Amino acid sequence: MQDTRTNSQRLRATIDLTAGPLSQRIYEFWTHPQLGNLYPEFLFGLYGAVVASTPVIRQAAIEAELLPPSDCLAHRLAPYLHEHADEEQGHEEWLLEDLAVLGFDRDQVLNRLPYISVASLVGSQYYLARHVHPVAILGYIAVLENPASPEFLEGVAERNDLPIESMSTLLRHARLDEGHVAEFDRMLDSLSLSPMQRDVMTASAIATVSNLEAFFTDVLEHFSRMVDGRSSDGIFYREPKPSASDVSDVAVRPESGEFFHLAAV
Amino acid sequence: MTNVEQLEQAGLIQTHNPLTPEEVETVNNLSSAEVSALIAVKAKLGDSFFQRKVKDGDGHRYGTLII
Repeated sequence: MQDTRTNSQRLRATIDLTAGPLSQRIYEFWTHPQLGNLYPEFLFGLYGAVVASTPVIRQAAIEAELLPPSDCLAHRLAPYLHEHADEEQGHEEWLLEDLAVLGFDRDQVLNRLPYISVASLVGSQYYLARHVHPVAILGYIAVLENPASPEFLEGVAERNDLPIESMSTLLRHARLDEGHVAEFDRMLDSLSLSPMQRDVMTASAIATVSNLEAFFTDVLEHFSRMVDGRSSDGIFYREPKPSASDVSDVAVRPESGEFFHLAAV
Repeated sequence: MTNVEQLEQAGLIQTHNPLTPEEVETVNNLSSAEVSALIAVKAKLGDSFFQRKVKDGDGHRYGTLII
């Protein structure tokens, strides 16, 4: 039977099909009992992806400009990708500002090795754009440009005693990206893709889901490493504010050696 | 062999958690290259238990990541 779905319907159905384990990881992250403490670690990981996304989209645009005239996407892809790269430009600065609200300065972020999962997430896109076809980047964008809702983020901030100012990057995307997603789908549906172009875009989306799952696994593993002082060295940990009832606990914790060494940064 | 059968054989579809008819249609419309990509990353497919959790109790989206 012939597939009558649009390009975006087909791509999103495939992403949904594969996104179960990723959704589980995201759920585990946002509902983690210590989310308020390690939210900065998530922002650090996210910084690694965001600082690299504008350059990789730009690179895909440059590769699109080099497509032969016979390629049906030669004149369609580059303008869209350049515009998209412009829209994403500078968002890494928002993340640095959010981390500053939580007490982490930019040198701490810039001097730390990014997650290897982030290198895989973005690096695979360079390969596909350069050596296969730049249309691959559309699979990456389709997966990543999927913001949380503002109401959800506001609830997370309240439940975890996080300053709402530390969520400015996520909130700005939540408010702006609804239009981006619809615009992306319209652009994708206007393209006439060859079977090879469709395949590389889908493969890119599948790889992005897999690499993103690895990213969230990395973040969650940092939570689990907090029980070991040496392994937690370097983790961006936000020390909880002690309540009045915690005062006696605070006096005990340095002797137990199980608490203060976690705030290694 | 259909795409669904290939993915079952690769262990990517759980027999106790079968795909919905819509998911079967999506899978069977994939090209062989797309099926190969799924197998390469060992993507677990169509686990509805996982997919229900993309929203919180109030129905607000978690999203994935943002760029």
